[in-house]
Amino acid sequence: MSTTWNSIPVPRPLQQLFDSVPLVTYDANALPTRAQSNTLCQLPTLYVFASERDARLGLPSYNPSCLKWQTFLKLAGVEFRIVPSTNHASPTGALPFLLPVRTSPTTTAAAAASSAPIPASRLQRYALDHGSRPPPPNAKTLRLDAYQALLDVPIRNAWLHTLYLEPENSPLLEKLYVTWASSSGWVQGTIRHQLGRAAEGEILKTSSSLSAAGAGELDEDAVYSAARDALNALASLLAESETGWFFSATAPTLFDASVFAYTHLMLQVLSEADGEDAARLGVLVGQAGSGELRSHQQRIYQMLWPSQIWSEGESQADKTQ
Amino acid sequence: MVLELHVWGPAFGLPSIDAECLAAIAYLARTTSRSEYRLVQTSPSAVPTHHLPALHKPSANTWISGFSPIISHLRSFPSPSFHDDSPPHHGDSTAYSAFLTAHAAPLIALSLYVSSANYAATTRPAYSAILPFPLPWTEPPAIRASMSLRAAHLGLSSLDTDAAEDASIAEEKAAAAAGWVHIPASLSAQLKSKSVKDALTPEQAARIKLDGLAREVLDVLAEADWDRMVLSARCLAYGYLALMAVPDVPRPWLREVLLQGGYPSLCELVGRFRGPEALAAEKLPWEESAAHSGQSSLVAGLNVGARFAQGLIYDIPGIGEEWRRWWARRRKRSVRRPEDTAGLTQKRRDMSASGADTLLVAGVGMAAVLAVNAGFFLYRSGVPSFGAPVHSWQMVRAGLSSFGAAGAMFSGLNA
Amino acid sequence: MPDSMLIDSGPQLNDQLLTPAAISKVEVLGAKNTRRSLLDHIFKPLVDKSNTDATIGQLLERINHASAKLQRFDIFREEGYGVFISGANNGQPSDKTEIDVSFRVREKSRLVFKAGTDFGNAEGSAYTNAEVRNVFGGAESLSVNASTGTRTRSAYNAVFSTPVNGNPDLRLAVEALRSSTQKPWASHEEQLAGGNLRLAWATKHAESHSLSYSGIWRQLTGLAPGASPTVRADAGDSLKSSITHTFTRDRRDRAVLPQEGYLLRTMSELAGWGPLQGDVSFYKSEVEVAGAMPAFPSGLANGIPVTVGGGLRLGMLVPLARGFSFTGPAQPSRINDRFQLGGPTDVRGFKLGGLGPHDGGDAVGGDVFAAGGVNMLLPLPRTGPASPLRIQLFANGGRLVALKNQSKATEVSSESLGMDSRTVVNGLKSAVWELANGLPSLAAGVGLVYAHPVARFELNFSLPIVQRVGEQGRKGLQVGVGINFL
Repeated sequence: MSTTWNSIPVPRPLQQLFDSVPLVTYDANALPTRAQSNTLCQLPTLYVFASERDARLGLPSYNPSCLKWQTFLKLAGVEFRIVPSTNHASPTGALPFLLPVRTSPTTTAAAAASSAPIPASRLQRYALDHGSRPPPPNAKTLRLDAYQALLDVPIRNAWLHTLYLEPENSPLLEKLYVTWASSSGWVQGTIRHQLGRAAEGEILKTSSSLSAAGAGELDEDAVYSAARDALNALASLLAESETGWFFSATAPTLFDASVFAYTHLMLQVLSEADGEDAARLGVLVGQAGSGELRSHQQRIYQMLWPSQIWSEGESQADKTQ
Repeated sequence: MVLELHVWGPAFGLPSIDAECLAAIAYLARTTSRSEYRLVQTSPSAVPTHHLPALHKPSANTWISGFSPIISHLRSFPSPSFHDDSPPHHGDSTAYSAFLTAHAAPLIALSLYVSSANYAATTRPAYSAILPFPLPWTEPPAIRASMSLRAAHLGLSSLDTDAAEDASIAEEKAAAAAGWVHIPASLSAQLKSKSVKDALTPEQAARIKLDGLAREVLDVLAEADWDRMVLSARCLAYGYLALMAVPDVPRPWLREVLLQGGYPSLCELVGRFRGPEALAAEKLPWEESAAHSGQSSLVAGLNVGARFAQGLIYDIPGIGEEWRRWWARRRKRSVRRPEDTAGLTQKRRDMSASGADTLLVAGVGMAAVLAVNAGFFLYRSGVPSFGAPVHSWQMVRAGLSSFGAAGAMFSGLNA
Repeated sequence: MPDSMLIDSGPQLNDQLLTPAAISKVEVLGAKNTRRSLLDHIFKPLVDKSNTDATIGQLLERINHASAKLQRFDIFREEGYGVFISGANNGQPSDKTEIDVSFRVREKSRLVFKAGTDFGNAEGSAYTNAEVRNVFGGAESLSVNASTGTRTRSAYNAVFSTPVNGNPDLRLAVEALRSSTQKPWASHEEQLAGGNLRLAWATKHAESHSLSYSGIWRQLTGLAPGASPTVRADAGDSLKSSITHTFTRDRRDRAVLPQEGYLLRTMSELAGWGPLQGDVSFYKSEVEVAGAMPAFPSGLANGIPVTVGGGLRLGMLVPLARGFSFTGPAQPSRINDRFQLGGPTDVRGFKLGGLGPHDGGDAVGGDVFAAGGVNMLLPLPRTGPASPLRIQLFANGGRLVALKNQSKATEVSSESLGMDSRTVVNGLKSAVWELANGLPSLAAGVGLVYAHPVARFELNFSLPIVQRVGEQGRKGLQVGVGINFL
């Protein structure tokens, strides 16, 4: 236990004594191996859910809200690298967040505080300030809020249900969120259980049920048909646009990034899982409207990950057709 | 063919206390005649899907619950019944419906459920009026709990003064018990009312934030062109807006924003649905719940008793949640649903897990019984003792005595 | 019992000590809750055939020994305990003196509830504890604890421990634990959940060993806003599955304020290697030596109890490959496995975790360390040697060095973090070399020591003399509370 008496003024001779020590000061200690790659990089770091390999190559994250911000930062022309991480690392308890470049690798606590992490809620501001080609702001229409609700409720619920609650997709869930955390069966089991419960809770919280029943009442048919309607609504909104971006923006906006985050994952990640149920959401995206969402996804993907589209994108797209 | 729509009962002069039930009733009232459906006043614990509104087709004994599944089911019927002839603008309709459930519902949760004053003065009495005794003891608190969960992300749990008071009373008691502070009652009252903020009701203190939240939502709704939406979206909007505008609550912040805040189009929407011809509670085809299934009052009473017991079990911490989950899964299997019109579910889940469930429940039950028995045993006999008042060890004698009784006899002779 | 006598009760026994004798009967009175099978281990040897050629002296020694063993079970009260010896009165003729022995015991209460405050190293806490002694009559104990403290926000554990084979010096214990501890020196909170199985045995001469297996799920979470990238990279879950051996030889006269004697402690831990599995894999070893002696031979300085003491601690962590491989890729250590150094109970004059590599404000720990200190304890004027107060002069220092992966240090986008065995060995070599590179980080000072039976309190004024950039020295006053000081 150590206590500070900051409030007591230090007498002058004592202060002189304090100033004269330490008599010898050497260079800083080198950081441990695990830390070296994290502290040497001169780019801001976006912490997301991703595999080690994907993170190294800068490929899309498999988590919708991480992918949304990853896409948006790329659209804005921000230079950053991504690092695979967990919610435990985040100041808000949720990924993503961005760690700006440090002024120097080993400094005082005060300097560290100045480069505090930027949570997702402030990333838009950051992208506009630091990006080389800031995207146009979201359309100034309140209609956007209504369409945003489609992403926040029915589409998110369907994503949560497919990934976390479909028994068929549990190998995929394990690969993405569970085995990465620990190799131990005990830890994995607990995490899997927690994830399932959390997903269920999230869906019930936003679903339109004013029921006293609560848990275990998920009506999956309702979840998927709501998602289908939502995707159709988004497709018809996109069809109205003259530019091919939502609300006729001149370039993709944050809303485009939010839609892309879901459609891309539904088309690509879920198609990696076996079984028809798993691919169901991808099929729904493809069928929505007359394919507007799929081509929207393809265009953004081509724009931001041009080298990937030829190697993987084509084969994935074929598979889901 | 007569359909049964099971809904929450009427309250505040509206046909139902719940927004989705209101919307479903409005939809039926607008698209069909009184003879084609019946309304059954009930609560979720009485229907097999545990969720209202629920549509029951007695001829096939199938159940569908939730507003949008009901609407899409109704649309599968041949025209003209259950169809609306308004020009469809599906995209916006879907989006605004989602917006209503995502953002209007939490507002109503704040106004009618989280706010202690409103809940105690308006909502709870309304539930007491529509639920048979003793269900008002179990069901409304559960609904309130789930509603505050729904509004939790808005960060206004301070409106729930009950919880805050409970906490502060507990704190005071604990402090008194520990002998730390003894503030005379008169003084403590003074202390409490010292700051201006404390003198305000939580609603007053949070008024600016509440107004902001309400306006954010209502602005979006007011901008929408409701006349171009499909009927179901309009019905849903009516359901939510009516619950904002109509109930006469002691802390009417939401009502004031809606009625006096410059949203004439929304008020008009509510007004049109509540208009002269439609939706007066007494004009709707209500059915007496007990009579409709031809049950005797005894059976009905037992039913209510079972629902009450269920509610009590749900409240047990830890066990309640598991029980609810298990029970829901069981019930789902027994509910017959109409053939899937959406064609989304490509295959039914096999219920191989059910065997394991039953085993688990049986195991837990056995363990509980054993634990109770062990506890009773311990209670009766105290901690069991293993020793004796006197332990003794005798020397192992070499020689004659090791021959036992005979040896002992000889050794006695030697002496 | 007119002819009963306490053991060692007088010289009148001396001439009888050589007479042959035997114990005819042993009685234990009052062990109402203690199983006979446990007592058999102690009392059967007193009456079996091995006693045939014994003398009274030998028998008394054996009785003494049995009595001491009985008390080490810690299930009987001190008051009301007595051993009574009387001439046997069984009517049996014999060629030797026969005696009856009777042990009077009073059992401690079996259910104990306690609540109080506790001082561990550098931390104070409040706890509640429920203990069931002698659960099944075999000196087993079950203890359940809940505590909350200045740094450990909450900790729960339950321990069941039992003597093996009726031997109070060999105990087997099973523990389940769950805790949540704040680590402000590295901007995070660590939550633990797990269990361990421990076999502990004591030998004569104050030596004790313990061998334990533990499986613990560690979760690094609750990061402070200013947490460094190093800490962020280690956030999340990991399971440590390890075998630990500790050896302690404590020959000090008083642990909290030693005047004379020495302490030797070693700790070795093998985690994750071979069948152990888990997420981390390493070998970790730590040695501590501490000693004290009177500064002047007796007679000098008028018997003023001036003592000088010193201590040395060394430790090393070797990353290992997973599975049974010696050469496979080894993952570098995590922050919760690495050593921390500095603080009022080890290297005084530095903040907690103030030594070693720092990333921003965070002490990220190191893989190799050496720390040592010397101190001199002087009595306060006008106090006797029995006074618990002392003035202390001290100088201490240490080095904490992290393992570097030199081969890839410059490559940011290296394939993975794994290191082969050659890299590990080279890294360790250079880390050990680095320990001796330049002076160790040093601090010296003067302070006041108060030795309470529960813990030792220190108030020191210290100044850092040698320091590395980033290391956090503490100029001025520092308070230390703990049991085990460097």
